[in-house]
Amino acid sequence: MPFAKNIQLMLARNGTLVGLFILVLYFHFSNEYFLSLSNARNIGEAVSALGVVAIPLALLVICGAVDLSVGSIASFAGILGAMTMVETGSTLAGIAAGLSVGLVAGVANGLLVSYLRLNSIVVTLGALSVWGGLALYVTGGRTVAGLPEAFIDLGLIRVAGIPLEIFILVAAIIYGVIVLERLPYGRRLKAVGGNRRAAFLLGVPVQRVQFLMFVQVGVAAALAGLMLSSKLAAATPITGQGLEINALTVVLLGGVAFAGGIGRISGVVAGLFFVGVLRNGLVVTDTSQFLQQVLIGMTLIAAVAIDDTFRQTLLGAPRSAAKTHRRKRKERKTGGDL
Amino acid sequence: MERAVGAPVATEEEVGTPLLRMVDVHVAFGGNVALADVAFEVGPGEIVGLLGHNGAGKSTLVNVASGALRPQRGTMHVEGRSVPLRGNPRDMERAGIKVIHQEPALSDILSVADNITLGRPEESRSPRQRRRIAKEALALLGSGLDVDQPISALAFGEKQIVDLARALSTHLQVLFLDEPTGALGQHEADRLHDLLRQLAAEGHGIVYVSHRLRDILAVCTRLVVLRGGHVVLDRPAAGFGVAELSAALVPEAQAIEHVPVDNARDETALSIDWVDGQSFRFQRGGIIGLFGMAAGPQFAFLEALYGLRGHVEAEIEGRRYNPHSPRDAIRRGVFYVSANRERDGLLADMSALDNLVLPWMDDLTRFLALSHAKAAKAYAQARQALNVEGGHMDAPIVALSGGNRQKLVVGRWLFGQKPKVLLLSQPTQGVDVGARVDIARALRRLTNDGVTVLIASSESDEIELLCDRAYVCEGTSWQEFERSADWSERLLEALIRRVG
Repeated sequence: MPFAKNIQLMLARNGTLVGLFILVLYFHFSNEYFLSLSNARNIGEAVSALGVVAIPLALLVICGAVDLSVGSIASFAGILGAMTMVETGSTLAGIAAGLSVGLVAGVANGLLVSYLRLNSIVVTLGALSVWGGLALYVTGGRTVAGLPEAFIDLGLIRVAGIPLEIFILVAAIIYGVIVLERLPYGRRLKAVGGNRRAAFLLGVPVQRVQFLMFVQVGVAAALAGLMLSSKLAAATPITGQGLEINALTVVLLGGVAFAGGIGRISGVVAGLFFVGVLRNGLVVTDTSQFLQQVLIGMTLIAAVAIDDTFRQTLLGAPRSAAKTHRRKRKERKTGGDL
Repeated sequence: MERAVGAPVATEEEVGTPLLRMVDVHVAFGGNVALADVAFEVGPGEIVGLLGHNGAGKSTLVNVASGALRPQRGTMHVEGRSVPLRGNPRDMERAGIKVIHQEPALSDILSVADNITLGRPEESRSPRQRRRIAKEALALLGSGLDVDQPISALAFGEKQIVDLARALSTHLQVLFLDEPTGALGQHEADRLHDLLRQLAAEGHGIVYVSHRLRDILAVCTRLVVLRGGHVVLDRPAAGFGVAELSAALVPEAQAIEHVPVDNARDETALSIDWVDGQSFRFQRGGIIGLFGMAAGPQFAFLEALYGLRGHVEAEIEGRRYNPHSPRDAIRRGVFYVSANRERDGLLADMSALDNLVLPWMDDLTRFLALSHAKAAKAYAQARQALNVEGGHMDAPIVALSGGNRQKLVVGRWLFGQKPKVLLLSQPTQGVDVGARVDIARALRRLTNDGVTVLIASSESDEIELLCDRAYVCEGTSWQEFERSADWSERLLEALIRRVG
């Protein structure tokens, strides 16, 4: 049954994409406004900052680590950027200050995890507290307002009717595809995440590869923080709260293995729009927004479960193992101990 | 199979029902048969020595008996009662079959008493009772170890005693020991052997798996030799000497033609100052074997040359070479394939193509991006030269059979940038005969181009198949052996003499 097998394979590889398609169809028939150009723009705008973080984070997870501090990095970068802008009046200086927060945070995470071989969950959980706490400390918990017009306008720029942040999102996606699927670097990432020891023995600079991934995640998180501040026309010390969980959800929905080694950018993009469409669709169809969390959570678990099952039966397991499995079942039926 | 022989009938009548009887046990991994309808028996009071080369099926048999592995078919009886072979270790525990592995399976942070009672009904008794149970078990072995100290405080031999005590304190019929003296000194080994004799005298059956022929001959009452998954010898140990035994171990007819073209040139490719004041010079284009025990120093030698063991002092083509990491080594043209290719070499999540080209991707780029066309060409070349069968190059490498995977993992170093020195650890282990020939040919072709190949192995027939000359790596001065008739036997004999 090659056809059925092909369908199965397609589902296994693009389960979230299929889910996304069903979701779009459902919302389309519930509300004709859903599939309009302006709503598509709404969705794109709503997920742009999330996507800017999720794509680099996917690369990091593929190479076998995770960064839970992205939300706090975004908050602190937004704050420091905003404070610099208020002080100096220069938008450029503010953006530079914000991005350098991401650089410093990413370098710190990378040094601790890659070179000192500390556990990435523990280190970045700590960093989550540190940067989030700093953001609250320097502001005393208050919002930083009075940002330069030039900065706020960035959020309003449109090229051919398309907002700037969607261009940034597209750039992030292109960046992900090039790094992961075009450059030799992408193979090294997967090798490090899939079998660190083998990668080391093959001459892959394991530590440097992982370190650079932390740095790009840090910078991306800072960029997301600035994007959010620009959109709000103010920076709050909790701007990025929850970003780490949402970004990680997108990454895992996209079929990236939490253990590393496996993942594709197309999947992550599907995961990103799945979350975006679900949120937007629930608003558009007037369904309770609180349900959104429940649905995203259930989908995540289902996606991982389906992914795993399909991978085992179709892609991963060598044929001999599949055969043993079948024989086992047969024997259970006959009940013999042969 | 035609050569599978059980215990002689006379023995069985003398001894009565055997403690353990395994019949028609068949295990295959993919296409590779590890055990071909093997029959195996152990009677009460017997110490059976189980021998064979790596890949002969010893550990497979032990794993079936311990329940770690489920055979495709076969039956097992303990004291005449059928035990299901469904790959469940608890069945075997209940039937009274215990396996002591080379590395004691104990929890380092728990105390001796906790370890002895862990996972058993006695676990829920009071600490005082558990200490008593542990003490009694240790006393059976004549040991007065303090049962309150953690396992991490014990010497290796003591850990083994605890492992044994754990086995003895339960219902025990047959005890399997896998390379029990591998990490023991002579004195400790002698003590272990006395214990085993005592256990056998009490009516237990013992199966002793080892590469050390002297130990086997010292303690065993019957010998069973496996080769290629078949029992090729099954007889009482009395009257057997080391020479006869090593002859039985070496396959009589190698189904492989050896290509005795020695491409060694009269220039030094690699020289190295090794420990104990030894230094070595290897000729360009030679294939040099380093033969020693399993886990012997020859493997550390290769790892050191690949920058995995800290400082080494070496020279390649007259230039100083002291690698700090594999990356360093690769840059200097020194490539390495580890013996554990599935663990250290395979990128299981990636495609066959990616697995092949990963170390030299930079040569396959076009405008910085990896060129699929160039990579595919390299893959086709490797596939043809090594007879890789099945699987599309873009499919995950795990879709290939074990042998073909191994070929690609070895092959990744043969088809890109040419190495100066190629380091291989047991390159044909776990590979079928056809694949061995393919690998042998590929190596030979490399030496035509002036590549020097070092092969570390604990199998003398692997050395005989692949190498031009060999060192026996044991003790403080490694002895060189030129290729000769009965090379494999001579190497094995020399090693056994040195190990003592």
